Amino acid sequence: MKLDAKIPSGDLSNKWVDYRSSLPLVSPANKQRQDVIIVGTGLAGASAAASMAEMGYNVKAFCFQDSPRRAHSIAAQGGINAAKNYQNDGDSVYRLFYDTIKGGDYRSREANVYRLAEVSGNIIDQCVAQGVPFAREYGGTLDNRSFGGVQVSRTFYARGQTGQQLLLGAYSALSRQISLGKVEMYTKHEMVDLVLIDGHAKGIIARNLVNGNIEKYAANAVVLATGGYGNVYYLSTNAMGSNVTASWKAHKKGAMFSNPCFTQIHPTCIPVSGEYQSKLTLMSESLRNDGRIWVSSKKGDKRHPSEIPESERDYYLERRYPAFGNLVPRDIASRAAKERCDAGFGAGETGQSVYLDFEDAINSMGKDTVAARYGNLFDMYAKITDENPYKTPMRIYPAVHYTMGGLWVDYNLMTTIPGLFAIGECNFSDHGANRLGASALMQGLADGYFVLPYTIGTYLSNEINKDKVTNSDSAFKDAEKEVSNKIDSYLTNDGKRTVESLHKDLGQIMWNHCGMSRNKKDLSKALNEIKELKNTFWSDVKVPGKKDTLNAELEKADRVADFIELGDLMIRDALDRNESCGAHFREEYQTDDGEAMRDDKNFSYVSTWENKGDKAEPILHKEKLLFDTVTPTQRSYK
Amino acid sequence: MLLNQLKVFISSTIGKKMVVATTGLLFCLFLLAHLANNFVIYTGAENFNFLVKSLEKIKPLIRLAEVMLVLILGGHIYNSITLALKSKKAKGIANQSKIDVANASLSSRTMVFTGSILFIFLTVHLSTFWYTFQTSGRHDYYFMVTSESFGFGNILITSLYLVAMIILGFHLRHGFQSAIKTLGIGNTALGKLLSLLSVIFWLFVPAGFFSIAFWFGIVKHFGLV
Amino acid sequence: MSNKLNLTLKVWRQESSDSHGDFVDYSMEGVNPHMSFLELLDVLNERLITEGMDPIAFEHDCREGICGSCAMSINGEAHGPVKSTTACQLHMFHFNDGDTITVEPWRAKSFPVIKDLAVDRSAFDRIIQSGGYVSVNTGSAPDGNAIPIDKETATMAFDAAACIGCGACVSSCKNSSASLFVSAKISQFSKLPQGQPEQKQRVLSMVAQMDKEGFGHCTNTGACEATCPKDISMDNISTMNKEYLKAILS
Repeated sequence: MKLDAKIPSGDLSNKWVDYRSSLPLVSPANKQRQDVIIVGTGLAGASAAASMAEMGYNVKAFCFQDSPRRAHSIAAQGGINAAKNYQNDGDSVYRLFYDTIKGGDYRSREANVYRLAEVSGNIIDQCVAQGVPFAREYGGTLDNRSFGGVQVSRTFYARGQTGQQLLLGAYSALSRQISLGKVEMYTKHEMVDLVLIDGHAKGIIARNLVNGNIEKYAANAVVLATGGYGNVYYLSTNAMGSNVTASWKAHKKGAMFSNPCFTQIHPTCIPVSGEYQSKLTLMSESLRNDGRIWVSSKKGDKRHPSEIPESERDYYLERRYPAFGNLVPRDIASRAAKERCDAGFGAGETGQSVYLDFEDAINSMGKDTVAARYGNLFDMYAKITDENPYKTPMRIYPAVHYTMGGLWVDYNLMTTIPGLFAIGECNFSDHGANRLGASALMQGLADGYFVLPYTIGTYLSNEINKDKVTNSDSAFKDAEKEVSNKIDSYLTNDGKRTVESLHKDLGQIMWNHCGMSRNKKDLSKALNEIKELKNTFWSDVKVPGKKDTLNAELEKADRVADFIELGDLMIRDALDRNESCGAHFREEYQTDDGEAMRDDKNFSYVSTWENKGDKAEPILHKEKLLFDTVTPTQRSYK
Repeated sequence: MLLNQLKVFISSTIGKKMVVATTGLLFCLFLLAHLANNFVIYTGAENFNFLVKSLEKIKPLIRLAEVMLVLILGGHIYNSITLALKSKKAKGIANQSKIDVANASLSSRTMVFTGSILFIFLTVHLSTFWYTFQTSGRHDYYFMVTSESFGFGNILITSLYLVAMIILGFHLRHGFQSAIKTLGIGNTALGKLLSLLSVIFWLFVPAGFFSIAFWFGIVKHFGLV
Repeated sequence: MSNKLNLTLKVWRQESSDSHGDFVDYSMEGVNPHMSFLELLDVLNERLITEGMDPIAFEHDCREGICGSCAMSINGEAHGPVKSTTACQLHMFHFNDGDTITVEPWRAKSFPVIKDLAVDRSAFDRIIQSGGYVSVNTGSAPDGNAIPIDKETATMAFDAAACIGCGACVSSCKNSSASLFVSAKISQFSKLPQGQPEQKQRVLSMVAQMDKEGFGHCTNTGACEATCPKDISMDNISTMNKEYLKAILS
């Protein structure tokens, strides 16, 4: 199968504008007869649902949470980028595009990224109009900060809760459409299968999580906005419920999955404190602006940090990267921390953390200034660890944070299944091999507000004359039956292992062998371990409770089953990519001093995997990446 | 249109609560006037009897005021009870373990209770002083208040008055401040000023009434001075 | 460095909204003081599953104190004894060895129990749907800087907008009033120029919906503010009342 990204021709800077004007329109009367299902109500899903309902489509929106406002976009802290150039520091659409594509280590499409930068400004306007309380200057204009090591200030923020405020904005727009009857909202509903009719996505099977009913919903098109799959590692900064299930069901029905191994590990998270750990908490990376990262220069040093003299401290980032020091990009900072800990120099009881020290900052600018800048983060750290970061250095460790990979989509954001679209983190499209800070919110809202509502017309305009699909079609009945059987099989399986314990095992395999750095030997080993785990899962999983009440274990079981299969694919993808790029670091492909070695000659492509069922191995398709405007260069932070 | 708005207002919880607040505040103003009259009793029998008698002369005005007071109090009590019943229904099953909420003062949590006690007090108060003043045909008001068995000549009545005034202070301690917030002026300069002045109503006014009962019913009655 | 805790948990167990609920005691030994309260429940649930019993149902998602999913009263206080903290960020070092801890769901008629500690808070969504938005279609917005808003106003609007919709205020309130939640949204928009055109209709609709959902009235006792994990101020309620009066009179 040939992957056609449907990139419009023409000059990069005019592609989107020209294309948008040439897109087929759906007349208002026809829009009213088109149903669209949107799964997920985070930034991408809620904004798409609201925008498309405003345009006249009938939207059915689904979320597994008890309210659309609880989607995990809400937890984003830092901010949202936009090429507004309000600070008059020379920012432009091109610069935002360039930073994003370079930050992604040249593994994303020029046209998609340029479009993202192009619509970024509109997002800010839209959110301000909704009443999102962005930070302001004294003069009343919008404030910006610099974020993620870029040279311009283009990040808009609302304290440390930007994601929350943006999501509440999209949620309010969605709520308005619900009250107008243009959106039917299904909360506590999880998509458990995709329904295809004649090869087109025409509906979903959803499980009502409160009463366990298996429900059938038909529509003219289906949009997935179901977020990332970081929980494949068990421990991540994702919400407990974040999962890959909707994407994975689509994948198994024919939607190809791209770059699954590109996983971003965030360097400044609160370290694991024990066996019971259920998730990891991220602290804004702005902490690295003034904090210094170090470990003891003695192996297995169990002394209290205050007892370790200056001469015995190893400021390893400053040592290795004198130019950027503590401000190197996320992937580099994360790997360096892992390297020190693996070598036995880690701090704390577990040896799996490094110090982030503000002593020098407090001495030079005073405690008050430090408190004004980072007070809320220090409070959060103290709340979780019961340690005072003003006195004792914080301990941090990298954690899985964002997944750049996802369902393959073309320029219209349509997957390889006609009528199935993927937006936000669940598609692969804009961040390449590494995402820049404050770009996730931008992409989610760009897709939902300003891209999909137009591009979906390319598909729906052809659906007008077709017969209306109803959920009485046999495809729905078959899918429903399959889901129902699967649920019964979970509940009747007479196993001994809890879902949680199996998920933890999966996390161990993935983190140890397909985490921050990978090598062929470990990956091959992991492939076998996953296979074994999959067998163990199906033979020995124990799911308590009933199917017709709220049953969190049953929900988790199906999610973990999909995570295991995804894990397998991630490992295959990591094995295929014999280069180090962005977040993907293959130990075999590094320079003498331990830096990543990208191989543009052989790997300048999007790895796109086709599922061939449980018995056969997946097939890799390659979408070649073409760079007409920028020239890929090697990153250097020395 | 306006009538419709009024209907919406009076059937909403906020509207009802505003009625409770407004009537409460109006009643506080009445208490202030009442106390000013009562203080004349300290200047001796002659003045006090004269004052009450002169009030007789503007009887129609007094009657009108009384009707208004009944309406005010009626509105206060009716809406308070409706709201209390609604909130009881809204709670359903209460919290099963001990509630230990720092911010919620005792006075704020016992408004219905203290209000009920005050209502009992009011009935006694009206059926003694007010009723006798109207019907006995006597004009020795000073004596009736200070020495009769239905007045401070009776230690039981005195005790009731003393307790009731403490409870009134307690009721107004929360009530006055709460009313300011309910009326939506809590954040304004006026609201803040009124909050400062609230001490007059929850402390000085009840204390003034208390002092009269205490002076005549305890100190004078038992000849302590 | 840390001493393990032995605790007794009294947890409210209720099969479904129409069944009878009661407390069940569970003894927990060797609890690591660094685990969060929800991780304590995770550990207990793992035990219950292996023992063939039904695990405790409770809402949770982000475990960072921002999604507003987690909802439980711990020893009678919404989200437990630590101020400005959700249950998911409450760590066990705040408890002592030998403690008995009572855990129960939010208590309000408008938040019916779904199962155990999980309650149905869709009433909050319906209140927002009744008017908690600015009616601006995608694409019709003016430039972000075309509407200057002074820093102080933006800060105040943010303070109100920080609400996570968890419902602690309703559960703490003796009247099960939703005033703090509703007023936070009304207050956010009342401070911003974007909210002005629809202000009157918004406050009337949202208050009417709040009453319709069966929440009680506000008696300004302040329990909501004391237990709010995001420190939403009761001043917002005063603002809501003022806006309501203005809307009625105009």
